[in-house]
Amino acid sequence: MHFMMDTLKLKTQIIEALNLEELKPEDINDEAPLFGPDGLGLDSIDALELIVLMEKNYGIKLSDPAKAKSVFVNVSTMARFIEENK
Amino acid sequence: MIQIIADNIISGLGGTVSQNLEAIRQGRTALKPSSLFRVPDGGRVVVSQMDDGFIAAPLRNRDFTRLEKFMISSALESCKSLGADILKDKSTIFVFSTTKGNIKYLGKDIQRSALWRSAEAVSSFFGNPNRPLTVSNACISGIAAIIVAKRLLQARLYKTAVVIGADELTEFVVSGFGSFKALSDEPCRPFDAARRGLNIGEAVGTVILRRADSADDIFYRDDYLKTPQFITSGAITNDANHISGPSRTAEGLYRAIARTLDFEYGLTAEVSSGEAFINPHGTATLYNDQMESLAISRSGLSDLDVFPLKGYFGHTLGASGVIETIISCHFLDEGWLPAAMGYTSEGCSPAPKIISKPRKTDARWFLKTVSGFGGSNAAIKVEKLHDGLSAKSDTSYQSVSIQQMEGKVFSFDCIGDVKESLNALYRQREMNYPKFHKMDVLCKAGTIAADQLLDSFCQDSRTALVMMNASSSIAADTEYLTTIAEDNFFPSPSVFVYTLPSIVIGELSIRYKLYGEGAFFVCRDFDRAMALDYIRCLFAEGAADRALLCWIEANSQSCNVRAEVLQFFTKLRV
Repeated sequence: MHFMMDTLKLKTQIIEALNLEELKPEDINDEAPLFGPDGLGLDSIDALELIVLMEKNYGIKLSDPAKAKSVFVNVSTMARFIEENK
Repeated sequence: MIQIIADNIISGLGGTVSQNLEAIRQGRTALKPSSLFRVPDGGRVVVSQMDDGFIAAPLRNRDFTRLEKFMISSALESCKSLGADILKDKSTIFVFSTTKGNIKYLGKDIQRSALWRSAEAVSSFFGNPNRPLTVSNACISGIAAIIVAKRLLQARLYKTAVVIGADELTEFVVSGFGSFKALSDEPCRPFDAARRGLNIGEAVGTVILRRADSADDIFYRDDYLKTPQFITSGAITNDANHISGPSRTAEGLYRAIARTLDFEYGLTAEVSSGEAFINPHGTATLYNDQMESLAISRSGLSDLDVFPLKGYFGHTLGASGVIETIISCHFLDEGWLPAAMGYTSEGCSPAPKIISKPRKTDARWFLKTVSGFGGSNAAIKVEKLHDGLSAKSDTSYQSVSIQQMEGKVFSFDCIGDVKESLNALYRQREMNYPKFHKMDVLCKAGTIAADQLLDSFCQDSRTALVMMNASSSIAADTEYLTTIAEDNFFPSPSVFVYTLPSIVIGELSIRYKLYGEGAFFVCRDFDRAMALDYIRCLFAEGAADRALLCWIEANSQSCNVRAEVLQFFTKLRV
């Protein structure tokens, strides 16, 4: 699998956009789930804020909430989606 | 007994109640596509707007904002046949309901944007000597204001209350709901299988409530409801679950209905199908309609006719509870219910009995429900005059005394970098609550006060939250404005949600699992006496045994918190 975008930058953007003040980029595993109790524990407002993040920083519009679910599984899936749609 | 004695509605359907009712009878909607407002995905926006022609002629050149002119016009129209003297009487209080008031002046004329200022402008126009109250409880504001007014009248603090619900269409609000992906690009379809979200509408409604002290004191009018109607109960609750998403178990709304219809938690209401109907919130969002359906079923009310009204004029925010109650009163009086505009097929389960064709009704009362951001819910019961009613006596407010719980006082002041000062307190207190970092300064300040004053003793539905300030959610409002700048338009949902001051009630309810009463008042300064009066009303009614009273004025440069816990002390025998 060839290397995709720099996930460190994406993690920094996520931390800033979602005010995850007690986390550092290196605390977030690329494959750890963003939602639910086993991962970062993000909620529905965070999901909406991630949509804004993608539009603001990468010019990607994601208006179909059903699609958002598969994009926001973890940092890896998000990075792959950004890479493919930039 | 609290009687409804007069009313008015100005909405996209017309400038009087009769115009609004006539439009609904004819099946007309005021919802139309508009190109005035931007939304994040650039889609079509559907709204309903008030016609400026409904502003009373003498006001047109006066120095009031458009919204204030509509509020005054509505109050004037409501008491056309009663005479405006009732509005200036010292036994009359004005209670306003609004979410964003003059928000369009923020960033231009900050004085003008203050909610309390509009309230005072309107009440002083009528020469009313009492300080008005503004209830800003997100989308439940209208019903919350009616409940607050009812309590103040029952406590005999006033004889009459003028409740005015008002909100205006602005890019601020439309873009915010857009950022939540909550808007439908077609006229909304409450409870329908194909519903895609809500439409924002603007409206102003006035309802005048008056306490009738005996059967002889009931107010009869030839030109109004044929049978007098009364607001006989009401309750405000919280889901204690999430600040924007409705509860999956409909916890808060179920509790609001249980308290309003007076049945025990876990049980259902005993109501026969023809005796009542329900006017729900029915915004047409996927999750809220579903939540309401569940609440109706959990309450054992699935056999009652349900007619949502949002398909006629959209979600009118601070006005919605007021205008939808007024419309329901008139249809109760007429014995006729309108079809749910936009509804064709069942879209919720268990399915409530949504009315798809107009029908006659012999109902004697109705239930009005609302739910909103901050996990807030409220319900009221409105009844036609009947024999059993006049016998009911009002709660005895005078006999209730309250006291401060020992040591439960907290105050905090800071100037300068408020965010950093609050973060420092958070670290110092070792609060370990990551959600704290997502909050705006108002909620952070409230959370710190609660961390000092509330603990395990209050995990229940008997602790009320009574919050108050002068500048509403000014810090979040100002921040949200920067996300919708002309050349940098990225409306932020996580900032927008905090542009409702009552979110602090939601945050504290979540943290301490509080399912009970909550009210956010906006007034010129800390009116502790008024707040204590209101808390005494809650205790007298049996709606709470304890209350966290919190004045929180917080913006980015200064913060001022005065908090205390009050408890029910004694009920004297009188």
